[in-house]
Amino acid sequence: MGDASTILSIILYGAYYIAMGVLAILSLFGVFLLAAHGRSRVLSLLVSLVYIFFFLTMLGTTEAMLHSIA
Amino acid sequence: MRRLFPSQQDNETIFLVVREHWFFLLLRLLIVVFLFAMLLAFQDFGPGIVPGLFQGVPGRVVGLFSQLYVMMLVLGVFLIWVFYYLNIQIITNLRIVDIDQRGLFHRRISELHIDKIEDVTSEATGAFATMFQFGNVYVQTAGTVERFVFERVPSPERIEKVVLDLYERRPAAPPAP
Repeated sequence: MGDASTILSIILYGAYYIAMGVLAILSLFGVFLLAAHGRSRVLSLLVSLVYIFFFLTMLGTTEAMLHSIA
Repeated sequence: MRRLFPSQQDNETIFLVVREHWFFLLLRLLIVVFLFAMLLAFQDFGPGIVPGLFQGVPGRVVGLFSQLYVMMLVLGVFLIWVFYYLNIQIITNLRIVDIDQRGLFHRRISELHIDKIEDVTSEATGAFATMFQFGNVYVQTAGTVERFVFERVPSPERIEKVVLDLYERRPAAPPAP
């Protein structure tokens, strides 16, 4: 039983961090793209901030869910 | 002064900045809404069909992956908006500039000088195009086979008129020596 839960933990943590890494990299490139080429700086900053807020909030709850499982 | 495109000159007047019609932004967002509705349906009907999947540890794993799925959808909405916002066509008194953001790592900028224009055509095909007034504008240039295309833009007739007016008002070319 201990072995099964260890394997589950490894799979879950692995899948989670790969998914989060991809999400974070794509998000960062999206934000950089907006900052570099956005016509209106205020609008670009506002959209980026709203998105980062959502992303971090969901990251927190997802991380908590992961720790409650594995 | 913040320039809209890298080669913008100080004496260049911008007449029109065109983006894809909002209808296509809405269509893409509706796809995301549909994918979100699929998740809600899965969570709503799933326990009735496969009860074991939603209880105990498997239930929490499903919850975790549902959360990841929602994060991907939020990222999808963000990137849809970024591409919509960064894909623009600019009409100035000197040229037409097409800024094409095809992906996160693929950006293409093409320019066409107003005096190279030979023919401008606008087209609106289909019921939605007629209803919401969007369509394509084709600008044929001298000496090139490829046409400059404004795809799925709002009010194509207005854009065609602006381009033609600018062509008529272009500065006269200096006489040949």
